Amino acid sequence: MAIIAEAIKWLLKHPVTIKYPFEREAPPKGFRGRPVWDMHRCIGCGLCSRICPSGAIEIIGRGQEAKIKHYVDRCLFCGQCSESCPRNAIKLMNDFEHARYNRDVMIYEYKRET
Amino acid sequence: MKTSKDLIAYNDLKRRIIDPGFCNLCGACESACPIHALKIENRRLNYTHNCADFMDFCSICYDICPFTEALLFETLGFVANAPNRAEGIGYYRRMLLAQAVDKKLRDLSHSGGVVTALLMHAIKTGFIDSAITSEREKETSIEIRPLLSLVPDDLLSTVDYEYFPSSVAMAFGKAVHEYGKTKIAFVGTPCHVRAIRKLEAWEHKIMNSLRIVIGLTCLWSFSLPELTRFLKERYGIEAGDILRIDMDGKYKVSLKNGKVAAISIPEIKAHTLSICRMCEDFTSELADISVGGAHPLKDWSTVIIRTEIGEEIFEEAVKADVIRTRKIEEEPNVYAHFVRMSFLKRKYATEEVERRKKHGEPVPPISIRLREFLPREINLLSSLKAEHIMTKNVITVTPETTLEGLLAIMTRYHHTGYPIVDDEGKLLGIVTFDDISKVLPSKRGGVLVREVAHSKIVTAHPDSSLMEIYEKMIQHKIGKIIIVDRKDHRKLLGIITKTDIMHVLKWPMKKLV
Ligand SMILES: Cc1cc2nc3c(=O)[nH]c(=O)nc-3n(C[C@H](O)[C@H](O)[C@H](O)COP(=O)(O)OP(=O)(O)OC[C@H]3O[C@@H](n4cnc5c(N)ncnc54)[C@H](O)[C@@H]3O)c2cc1C
Ligand code: SF4
Ligand code: SF4
Ligand code: SF4
Ligand code: SF4
Ligand code: SF4
Repeated sequence: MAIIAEAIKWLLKHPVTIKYPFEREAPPKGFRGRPVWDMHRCIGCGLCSRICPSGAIEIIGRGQEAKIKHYVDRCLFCGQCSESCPRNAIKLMNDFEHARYNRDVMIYEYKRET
Repeated sequence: MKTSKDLIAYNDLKRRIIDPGFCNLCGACESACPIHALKIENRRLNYTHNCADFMDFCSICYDICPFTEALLFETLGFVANAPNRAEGIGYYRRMLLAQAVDKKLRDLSHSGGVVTALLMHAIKTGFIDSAITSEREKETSIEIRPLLSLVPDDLLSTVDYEYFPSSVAMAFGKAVHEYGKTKIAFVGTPCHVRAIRKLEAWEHKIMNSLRIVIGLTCLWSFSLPELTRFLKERYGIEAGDILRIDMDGKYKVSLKNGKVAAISIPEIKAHTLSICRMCEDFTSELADISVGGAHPLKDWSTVIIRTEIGEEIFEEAVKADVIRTRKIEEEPNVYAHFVRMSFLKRKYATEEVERRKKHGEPVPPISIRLREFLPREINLLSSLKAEHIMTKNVITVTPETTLEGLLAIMTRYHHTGYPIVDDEGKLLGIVTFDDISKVLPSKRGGVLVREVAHSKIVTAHPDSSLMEIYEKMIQHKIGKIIIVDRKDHRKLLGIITKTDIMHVLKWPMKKLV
């Protein structure tokens, strides 16, 4: 009996969930989203690629010519890459919707533009 | 195709700095290495694992070592927007004398106690959250310990390997990584300061936590074991009996029993670290504030404020009555001594570099870079003419000025050479700081400029290229060239100094993002 009373009470209140994807809440501070590379800061040392626990970072070339490929489908959003970069070239963004139907479009490429 | 071995800076660091014995264990590379491959232990820089196993490419340790050529001109960007520059002093806003109001601090430091007072106040107001100064190593033996009080209030650098290592590493390795500090004040010798600025110019992420850099003046550092051995063998002085070392022309070693032993510079110089003998920065030219002794005054320090943030922290402390100041103009002898030391250091360094080159001995990359321009720089200097950069409002003196008067002018304007002109403004000669220092302070009131000046002057014309002028400076071993009219060689038009030329070459200001 009490349960029904409780249910009716809640029915009349606002829902606790929001109607995602029509409504979105801002991610909290310190949220670890998708890592993004600033290639003007990157020296192409390859440390991020080696340190990534899930092999989500590929580095092609060395130094200034280096190209970074980030496979977001493998990424754990652990932030290790950003932590380890000696030059703060990697920032974690706030976005979290990365799922796609095709894995090929889940690769982000970064290159230094001159 | 380069192999990954070539792409690792450590190989160059080892070949050009460590193997020739130029590393003075400042610790900058230890704190900067992203994989912690470098570690100072037992007075050695140890390479703990092969970085090629972790990195594809890395330029860090070589770039930021204070004795390599990398990033030198970039680091000038941190101070170069100061309104004044002078040879031997660097870029600066103002130069003055200061002391801690608290007598306890002055007594502890044997001089003005300014650095400590500044830091204590800045921590109190929250301007900084920590300060990195040098620490002693714990295992220091009793015999060596008293030598720490050799840290001079006056012109001598006695701090050795025992106290040198890891000062920078401690600063950033520990303060940032272990204690999470974010507003750090750094105190160090000119080479430490250069390492910190290089890290900053490299935009290393640990530098986000740096708030202010306070530089000390430094003539040389000694190799402590060598110095103590020498003092014992030659003078029978035990390390434990030494109270302090001062320097005024000679090194004066004061002993606990009240005796003083005087040792000449050339004799003691042999026991300095080899890198120090080629070091040219006396005043920490890249610091926000530089602090040095104020010989012959006992209780004061000479302070050079170079940057806005330096000005801010200093003014705060003055306003809070933590530090009191005096004009340096009131003490021409302090200024004269200070500048003399700076010139002396440069002169010895140049001689040593030349000697080494002649004998085919290794020279640190920084010393080579400071003497040889890159092709791009030569192009720039060849394309610019004297009239583009010369100072036109030249301060001059008359032949009848006394040396005392001249020194007062120098202490006020901080230039070290002045053209001599007659009543009609015609150029007669030049008088420089060197000419003053040849005359004893007590006699300077009675000696006139014309008695000591050179009448043979090296001049150039408004359309001479800067490269031409620079080559003249090197050839004649001088720091300034007077620019005269092509038709009338006694018509003074301007003056150009070596610092003016370096200023042209400095890179645009680069700051952390
Ligand atoms: C290696 C060395 C060489 C020096 N050579 C000269 C010289 O040739 N001419 C001259 O006028 N003065 C020299 N000094 C003295 C230096 O300029 C004085 O420390 C300065 O006068 C500051 O005085 P103060 O009383 O205002 O500072 P204080 O309040 O006494 O503070 C001095 C600060 O220096 C720090 N410090 C001490 N040792 C070291 C070290 N090895 N590395 C980094 N920081 C350190 C202390 O931790 C402290 O924060 C030298 C000092 C050193 C360490
Ligand atoms: S760790 Fe930083 S500098 Fe090194 S490759 Fe990755 S992003 Fe570039
Ligand atoms: S966040 Fe973690 S998993 Fe994702 S790329 Fe960086 S290191 Fe790899
Ligand atoms: S900084 Fe470290 S990783 Fe880079 S080259 Fe030097 S030792 Fe190797
Ligand atoms: S950075 Fe300092 S510790 Fe490292 S090699 Fe250079 S002088 Fe030695
Ligand atoms: S003389 Fe130069 S290299 Fe030697 S400790 Fe002083 S600043 Fe460093």
